[in-house]
Amino acid sequence: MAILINNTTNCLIQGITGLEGQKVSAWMRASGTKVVAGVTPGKGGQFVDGVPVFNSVAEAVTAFPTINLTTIYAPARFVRSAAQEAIEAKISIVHVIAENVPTRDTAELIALARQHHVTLIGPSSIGLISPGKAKVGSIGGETNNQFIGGPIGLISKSGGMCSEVSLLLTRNGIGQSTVVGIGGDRFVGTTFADLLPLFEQDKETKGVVLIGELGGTYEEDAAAILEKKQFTKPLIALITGLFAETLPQGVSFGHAGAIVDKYIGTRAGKIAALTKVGAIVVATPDELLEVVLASLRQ
Amino acid sequence: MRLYEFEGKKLLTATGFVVPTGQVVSFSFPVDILELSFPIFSKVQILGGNRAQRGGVVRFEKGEEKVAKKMIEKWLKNGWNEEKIEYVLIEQSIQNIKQEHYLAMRWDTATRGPVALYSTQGGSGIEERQKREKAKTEHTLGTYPIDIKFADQSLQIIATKIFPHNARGKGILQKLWQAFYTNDATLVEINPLFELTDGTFIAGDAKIDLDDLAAFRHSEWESYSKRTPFSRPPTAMEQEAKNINAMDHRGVAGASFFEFDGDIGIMASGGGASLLVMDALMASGLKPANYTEYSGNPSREKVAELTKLVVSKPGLKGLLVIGGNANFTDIFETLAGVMDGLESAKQKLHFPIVVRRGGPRWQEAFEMVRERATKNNLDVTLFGPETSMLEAVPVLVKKVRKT
Repeated sequence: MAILINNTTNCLIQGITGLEGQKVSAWMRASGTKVVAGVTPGKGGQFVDGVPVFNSVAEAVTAFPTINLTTIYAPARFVRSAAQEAIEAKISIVHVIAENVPTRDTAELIALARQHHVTLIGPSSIGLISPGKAKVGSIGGETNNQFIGGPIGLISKSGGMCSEVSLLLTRNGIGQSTVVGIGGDRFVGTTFADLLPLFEQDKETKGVVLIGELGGTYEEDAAAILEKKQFTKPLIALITGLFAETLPQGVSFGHAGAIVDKYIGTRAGKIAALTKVGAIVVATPDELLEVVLASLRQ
Repeated sequence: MRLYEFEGKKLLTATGFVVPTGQVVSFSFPVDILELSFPIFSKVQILGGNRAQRGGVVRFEKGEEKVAKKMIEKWLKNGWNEEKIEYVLIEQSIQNIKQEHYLAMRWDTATRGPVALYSTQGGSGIEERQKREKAKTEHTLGTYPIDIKFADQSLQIIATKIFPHNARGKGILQKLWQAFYTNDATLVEINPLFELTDGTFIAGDAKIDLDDLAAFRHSEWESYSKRTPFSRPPTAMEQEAKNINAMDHRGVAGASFFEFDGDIGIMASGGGASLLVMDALMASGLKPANYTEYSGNPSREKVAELTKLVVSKPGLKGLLVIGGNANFTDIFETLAGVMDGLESAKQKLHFPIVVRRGGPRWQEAFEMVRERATKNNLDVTLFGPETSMLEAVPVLVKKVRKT
């Protein structure tokens, strides 16, 4: 068990002939992911390490109807058209790693994904991994050695924190069921609230770690899922951004969505919302480890 | 990027809004050419808020031409509330006002789409009033989601709710949507939106934020002067960081750079990790000299230049080179960049440097850093992924306090 991806995932890579696309194709295949095809307009008929390349998503899906996930390795300005192609081809999961996608483009992609019942992950998502089964995107790089399979689900806006916190867990013998980098943009296709019910259904997952930060309302939305009892397992949350809140509003830090706003998305508000519904909010990764260990002992 | 009121009003005019008759005064267009009929309002052009409460909007009656001119010149010469003023907008007063509305559009993370915001009681101080009233009722400012795929239908429905007695309301919402959508704005706020007794509307103010990420399809934005969210132009360091990031298209290094008053240089890696580190630094009592971040496997050259920039700040007492366990950033290449930057610094670096990092080739990288630090007599302390990220902060605190 795991969520979103496992060893039955058949993956397409859009932008497979580019430098990053080729690299991630090799990494994903080495992790057990089935990469069945690639797309680069104008490069149809070529092969990248034995993976056939098509001119369009439609062509790839016709040749390989089992494709159920695509990861897009295209620069920010081309994400909209590439993802639109994938969503209209009704590939069930569309993953976007690019940062710096304009908010309007993402908003339109989210609306399109809802219309076609497609799960959009990202933009600005490092990727997702079900350790030992499959991975999508650049998460874990070449080796994946910060991840092992196990009982903890992990969701993080930050890709770096996916790796950092997983390593901390792994070093202490706690494996992960699935780790998802949802991205740090203002709008992302899949949020904490979308994933918690999936982790609730997943028998392997005994608890979930949520890494959030100031800005937006996704942490508050996660709290609403707990309140509605759509997630009943232990939830351990780390919310950063204390420093940023001492600065004038409108300042954005590292992630486009980490924006200081007077009333919406404050760190304190997120902590209060999560604490109220029974999540355990910790201040540091070390404290996070202690709480995860304690929750697994229960 | 936030626009000044007069820039915002130009965009609103382009989509069909009526704005008060007025003119912009600056050093290059001095107040002598003032040709408006009084009474007028003179409004300092600033990027921050609460302008009216702080005395940045002043009304002058007929006969007060000289006083007005004198004050405007003083603003431009001496600044206002310790803020440098480059522009003053002078507008004729609006007659026959029936009502002052508040109307805005922005992106909303709750619906992950656009929303309209509306209040029947516009005018200055709405934020304060809202805060006060929030304690009593949950929503004084109405939020109206817009379906981006069916925007026109959404606007029709919203118009019947917020402007039930004025047929021009829908047109106003359509114009606002056009201003918001076509300009890739993240916020368009009109407060007050005057409704006159004859049913026409006039945009009394304009607060527009543009989505910097969409700059590639808006060459017209290049004409806007450089600015930061701090209501001040970028410092030389902040500008230089932007240039460094633009050196090549690999990863980011310096895309976010803010200069502060503290004395601890920051070279953080990754948006999420950097926030965690800054929180810990604050809690420790040390003060950052800057915030910056590199990630996404940037080139060695970019990291070198960014490091050189960070340590160029006079009076530094320490440097924190800190990040999580990278997914795919080559630690050898990026730390080699950091060392290049440290070695090419103009002055001798006497302060302690604490590094915490993990990821591809980190062990190899640490060996290289150790060797180069010894050779160049640099006080570098190294922590790998076996040490938690935040443990590096107290180590730096201790070292800084000793020196």
